[in-house]
Amino acid sequence: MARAAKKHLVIIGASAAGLAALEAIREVDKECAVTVVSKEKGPLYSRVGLTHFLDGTVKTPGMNMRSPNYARQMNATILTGLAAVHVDFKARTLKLSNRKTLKYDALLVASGSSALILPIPGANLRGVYPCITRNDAVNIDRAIPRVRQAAVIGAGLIGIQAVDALAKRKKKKVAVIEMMPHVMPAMADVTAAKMFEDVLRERGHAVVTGARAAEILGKAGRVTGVKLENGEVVPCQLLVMAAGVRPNLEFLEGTRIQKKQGLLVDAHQQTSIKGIYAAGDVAETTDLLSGQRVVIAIWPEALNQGRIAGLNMAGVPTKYEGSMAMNVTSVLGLPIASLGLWQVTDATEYRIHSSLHESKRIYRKLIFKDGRLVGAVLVGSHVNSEAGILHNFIRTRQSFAVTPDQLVAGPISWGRVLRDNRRAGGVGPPAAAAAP
Amino acid sequence: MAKVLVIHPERCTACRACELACSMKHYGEFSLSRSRIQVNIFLEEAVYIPTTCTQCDQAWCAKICPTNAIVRDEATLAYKVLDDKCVGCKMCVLACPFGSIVLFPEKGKAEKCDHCLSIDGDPECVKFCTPKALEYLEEDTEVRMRQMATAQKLKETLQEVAV
Repeated sequence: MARAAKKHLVIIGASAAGLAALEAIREVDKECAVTVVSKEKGPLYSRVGLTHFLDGTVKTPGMNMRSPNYARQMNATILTGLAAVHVDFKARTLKLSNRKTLKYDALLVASGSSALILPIPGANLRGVYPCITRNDAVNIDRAIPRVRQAAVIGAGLIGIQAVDALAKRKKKKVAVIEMMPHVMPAMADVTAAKMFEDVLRERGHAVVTGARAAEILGKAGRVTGVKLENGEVVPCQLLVMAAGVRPNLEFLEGTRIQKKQGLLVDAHQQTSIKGIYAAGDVAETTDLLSGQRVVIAIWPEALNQGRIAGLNMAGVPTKYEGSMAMNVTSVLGLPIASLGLWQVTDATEYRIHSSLHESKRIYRKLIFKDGRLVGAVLVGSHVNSEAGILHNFIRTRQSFAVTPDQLVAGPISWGRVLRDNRRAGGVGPPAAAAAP
Repeated sequence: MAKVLVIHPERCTACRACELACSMKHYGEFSLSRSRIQVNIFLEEAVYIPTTCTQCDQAWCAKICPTNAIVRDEATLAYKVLDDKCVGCKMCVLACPFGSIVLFPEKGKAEKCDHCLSIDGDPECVKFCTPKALEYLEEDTEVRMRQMATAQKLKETLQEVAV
């Protein structure tokens, strides 16, 4: 009798979600064949490093996230410079950009996001770059020395980190243009955002909010400025386009796979097509705290979801507890972290407590529901000591005997919270959550 | 041989010499806020509890690190940060449930207790702890037992404090 062919698992994408899946597969199955397909050529690198390469914190090798002999260690085939073109659900095959096809037993879509390029005139001028691949970052890095003024469209995480990096490099003056009423709309509330706008303006950078770019101006094929819808012109010789991202799902267009913001997945990260899984920026999961369907395009979630997908693909049924929003960064030395349902404003369903020292630039906002912490925004140096602890409190659904007002007054440390909780006759010390 | 930093809170006098020694060794300054070991001082109850990185077996900081910059030393099992790999993204700060890894803008790299591996592998805090509340020992059954006993005592202390 012929021996059954080895199980073949295929992963599209070699960033956080894809590699977390590969590593999870190898934890439980050393034998099966695994192929990872990556659109980009070159060593595996981390997108998180891009803006930190730009600001000079690390050199290009610093962005690499795995050793050169990683594929051998993982006993996996890693194909780089190849994109997914088409999936045949029935035949269970994946067609690649080199026209070869791979037959799979289970497929993971972890193809990530691409930068959204605004459909406005001038977007193809020289000196206009997105900032989402290593190539982009290298291009920006090379352009920096020859420009006097830089501008960034979009003050989201990538945009604001690009502003921070450009500001650090040769002390350049940077202008940031944000469509929403305030900067960092996906990680800061109005109060926190104002602190960052103040910091940027104090150092001589321009912050333009509630404004849309209408046209990118150029001379001899090179960018010279951004014209806003109100006619105002922001001059620049370098423009970073960080207006958002869109999931890389073109190769699934026109198929019956269920898709809204991203591919709908169940608690096993499986899509509506049996045997096809999704993780990271392309996956629409369930929010751990609100129960709503969400796409949370962040590194930690890509790791968590990729790991769950990998275990299920390898035949170890594993459920995901749900995704949780979280972001952390710092702009011109001022740190910010936001966690969970930090955006809610409904004071009937949630109890929202905050404390603000404007002059010291310390802000702490905590959101509770039914006595449990469900969200937080922190601005200031206490991000260091408190963000991880609050993250753990939220994830473990820690209940508190101390009042929210006592907690929000800070500082929040293990010792203090434990003691205060005990004093108030509260519950025991929270167990650290099991690693997802 | 795996080594552990054993903490005996009941011996701690809250002199904070460990914090000063740590910041001096790593940053060349006496700065309590830059120390990688912290003494939690509950003056009213006269309870002092030094805390630092636990060098977790399942270290979330290392797992989340986008560039694999937090690595475990195979000999001592302590984790250290590789400065040329750390991009300063702070994800480890979000991940650590104990707040034991931090990032200051001046350095821009994650910092945590690495049992002084990045310098000489000889924990400075232990050398300056007169009451021997800190010990750096090879891990064996006896040390494990002592750690467990300490943890138990700590739990009881906290419960007493609360009453």
